[in-house]
Amino acid sequence: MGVSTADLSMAPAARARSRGTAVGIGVFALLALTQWYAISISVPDRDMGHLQKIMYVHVPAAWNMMIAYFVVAIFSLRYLWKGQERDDLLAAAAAESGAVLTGLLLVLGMIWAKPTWGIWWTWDARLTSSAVLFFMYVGYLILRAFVDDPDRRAQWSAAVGLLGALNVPIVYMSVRWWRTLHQVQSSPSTIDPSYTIGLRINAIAFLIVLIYFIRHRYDTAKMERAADVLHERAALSSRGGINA
Amino acid sequence: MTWREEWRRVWAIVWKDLTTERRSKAGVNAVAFMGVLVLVLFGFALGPDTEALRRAAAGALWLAILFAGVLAFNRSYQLELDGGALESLLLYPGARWGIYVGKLIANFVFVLIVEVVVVPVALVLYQVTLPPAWPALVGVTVMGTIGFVTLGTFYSAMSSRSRAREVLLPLLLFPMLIPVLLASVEASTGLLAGDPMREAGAWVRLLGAFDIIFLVASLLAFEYVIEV
Amino acid sequence: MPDNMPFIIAAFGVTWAVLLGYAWRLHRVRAEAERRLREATNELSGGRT
Repeated sequence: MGVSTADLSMAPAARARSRGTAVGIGVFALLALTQWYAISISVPDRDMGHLQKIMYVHVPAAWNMMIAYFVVAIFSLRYLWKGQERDDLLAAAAAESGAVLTGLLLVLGMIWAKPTWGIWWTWDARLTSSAVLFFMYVGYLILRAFVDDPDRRAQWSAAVGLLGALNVPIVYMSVRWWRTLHQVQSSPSTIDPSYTIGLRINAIAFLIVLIYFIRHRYDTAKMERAADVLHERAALSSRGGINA
Repeated sequence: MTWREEWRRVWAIVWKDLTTERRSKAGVNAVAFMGVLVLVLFGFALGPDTEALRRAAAGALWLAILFAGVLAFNRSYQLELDGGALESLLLYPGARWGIYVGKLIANFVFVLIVEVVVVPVALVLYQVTLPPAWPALVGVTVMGTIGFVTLGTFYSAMSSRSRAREVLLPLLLFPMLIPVLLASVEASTGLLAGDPMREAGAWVRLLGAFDIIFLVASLLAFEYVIEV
Repeated sequence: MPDNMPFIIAAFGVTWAVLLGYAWRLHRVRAEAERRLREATNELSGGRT
């Protein structure tokens, strides 16, 4: 806790920040590069034409949203098991990035669905469970915002994160069953093998962006906690000033 | 602690909660009234077409129960917090799940009483004729209520002790309730129409599975939620 | 299909707007955290001496 006070003094922090900014620029440059590469090598799809290119942002967002979701579940479980604060902060960092990616995914899905299917939204299992996942993430983050005590916040959000993680596959299965019983349209056409390279490198670039986000948010959360702890100590020492 | 003693604690909590509720009565009346109000509002939103009303009856009824019930859950812990009674409840020896199960049963009875008022009103307002298989419909209602109350009791243990509790509970609870809501609405809609597709049974089994999954998960997680 | 162009541009535009927007928010949150940490450190050392 307070041991790191000296290490967190200003010069290293400023250096770490400028390094973080440089890494960020690099990460986004990589993403731009992979997108440009994928767009330039891909030929128009037979059915969808150039619209297929939305795949290079939509599918990586979906995959990485799933990764973020697993990170939240795993670190929530680990927190309940071991009770270490860093697991809680990591789960929270992953939840925030996951919420951003899921929101992005939903918007991208709508943008893609409108010209291909002619509708912005359909009550399909994948769409609905993504939307539910988004609500879970948002609920998780709002819970964190409304609880002040750090231990309580960590315990509660770990429990909420785990139950939410349990709920998403259940929603997926039940909606799929609901839809197949009522039988409406199938999922979009399967991917042409010539697109897979572009898709994969874009997924990796997205993953690097995700890691960068989580890492950055986690470092910031650690600083916030350290500041809280120091504030508390300052308040205590000024109140009990006789001993100091 | 033996099982017998644990259950005695559970029943003590149930008895205490229900007695408080019975003495005040304001809670049940207000919540049931809220449910009826939601039904009327849905009626206006759906329009006066009898067929449309009948088709939407099960969905509207379940949403009315959800919106009304969500008001009840926070109260359940709020009463403890006001008297500072939760701390002493936690100080008593015995497992934490006893508190959860006690609250769960009390909330279940509470919501059932509300349903006794709301369901007949829904039948009248939406001009639903009961099918011959109406006991199955009662079973579905009870099972859906179990799922609803299981999650509601769990999440309100958190929301009632946080800031902005009125907003937080539905935000956390409603996304979790989607599977239960879906299965309950589908099963009751099927049963109301005389189960022409023979699919209500599958939905009922699914609903039972959801109840068990969420009950076990909440029981396991409750200890972490209540102890801080 | 030239009429799909707006959708493609929108998709990539939204992606970049969201990702860069979040990165910018992270940057701001971090600056704020650093400021608070600095303040707390000063407060503590000021209280001691």
